[in-house]
Amino acid sequence: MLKTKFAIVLILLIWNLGNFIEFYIHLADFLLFFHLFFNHLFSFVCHQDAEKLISFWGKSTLLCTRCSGIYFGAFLFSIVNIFTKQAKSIKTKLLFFSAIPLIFDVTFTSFGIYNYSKIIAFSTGIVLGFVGLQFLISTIFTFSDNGE
Amino acid sequence: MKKYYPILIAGFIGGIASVIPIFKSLSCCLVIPIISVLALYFEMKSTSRNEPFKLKEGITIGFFTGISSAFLGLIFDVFITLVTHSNELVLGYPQMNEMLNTFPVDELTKKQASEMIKNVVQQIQNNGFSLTYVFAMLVNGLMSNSIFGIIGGIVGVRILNNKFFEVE
Repeated sequence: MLKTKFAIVLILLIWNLGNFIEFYIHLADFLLFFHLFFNHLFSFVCHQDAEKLISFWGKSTLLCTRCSGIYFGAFLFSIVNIFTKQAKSIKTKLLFFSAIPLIFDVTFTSFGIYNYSKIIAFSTGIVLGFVGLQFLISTIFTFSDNGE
Repeated sequence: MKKYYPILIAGFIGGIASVIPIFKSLSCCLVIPIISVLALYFEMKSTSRNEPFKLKEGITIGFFTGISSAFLGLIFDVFITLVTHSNELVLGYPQMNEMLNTFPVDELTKKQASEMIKNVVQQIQNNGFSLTYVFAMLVNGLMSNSIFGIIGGIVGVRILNNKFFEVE
C-alpha cells in the first residue's frame, strides 16, 4: 500500500516538475527534450491558452493556471495521503462541493461578471485537484479490496 | 446497436459542449468526466440494471464515451469552421506566433513551425477546411477525452453505485 502511495507521489511530482520546466530549463541542455515531451503531453490534457499560463520572470508554465492548480492540488493530496490512513470512502457530496468554486469561476469569468484571475483559477483548481484525487484513489482502493 | 446508445448520446452531448464557449473552457477537466457519468446513468436506465457497476465497466464506458465525444465534437467543429471560415486557431494565430518566439528552440525550427501554422490558417480562411488541423484536433481529442473519460467512468461507478445500489 505504501509503495503505491509513493508511486502516486512520484508520478505527480514528475508531472508538476514538467509543468514548471521553463523555470529551470537553462540548467542543462537535455532538458530541452523534456520540454518538448511535456509540452506535447500536456497539449492532450489542457488548452494551454498563452494568456492563462502562470508567467513570471519571463517564463511560463506549460499548463494553464486552472489545470496547474488541479495537478498541484492532486500532488498535495498525494503527500498528505502518505501520512494518513487510507480513506475508505469519502462522500460524493464533497466532490461536488469541491467542483462548485471552479464551475462558478469559469461561469462568472465567461459571462464577464469579473475578470479572469489567475489566483482564483489556481485556488479553485487546487480544491478540486485535492478532493478529486482523494475520491479517485479511495474508489480504486475500495474496488481493489473487493477483488475487482 | 442499441447497447451503444448511452455512449453515443453522452458523446453527442459532450461533442456539443466542446464547441460552446463556456463549456469549452471546462471540457478538459469537467465536461468529459461528467458526460462519462451520464453515459453510465443512461446505461443503467436503458438496461433496467439491478446490480452495481464493476470498476472495469466504468472504465470501458468512460473510455468509449470520451472517444465518441472526441469524434462528434470534431464533426461539429469542422462543420462550424466550414461555414464561418474561422476558428480558435485563426483567431489566436497572432498570439501563437508571439508564443513561438519564446520557445527555447533554434530559429529554423521556429520558422518551420510558424510556416506550418500559417499554411493551416490560410487553408481555413480560404477553404474553411484543413486536413492537418482536423488530424491534429482528432489526435488531441482522442487522447485527452479518453483519459478524462476513464477518470469520469471511475468516479461515475462510485457515484451511481452509492446512490442507486447503496454500495459504499
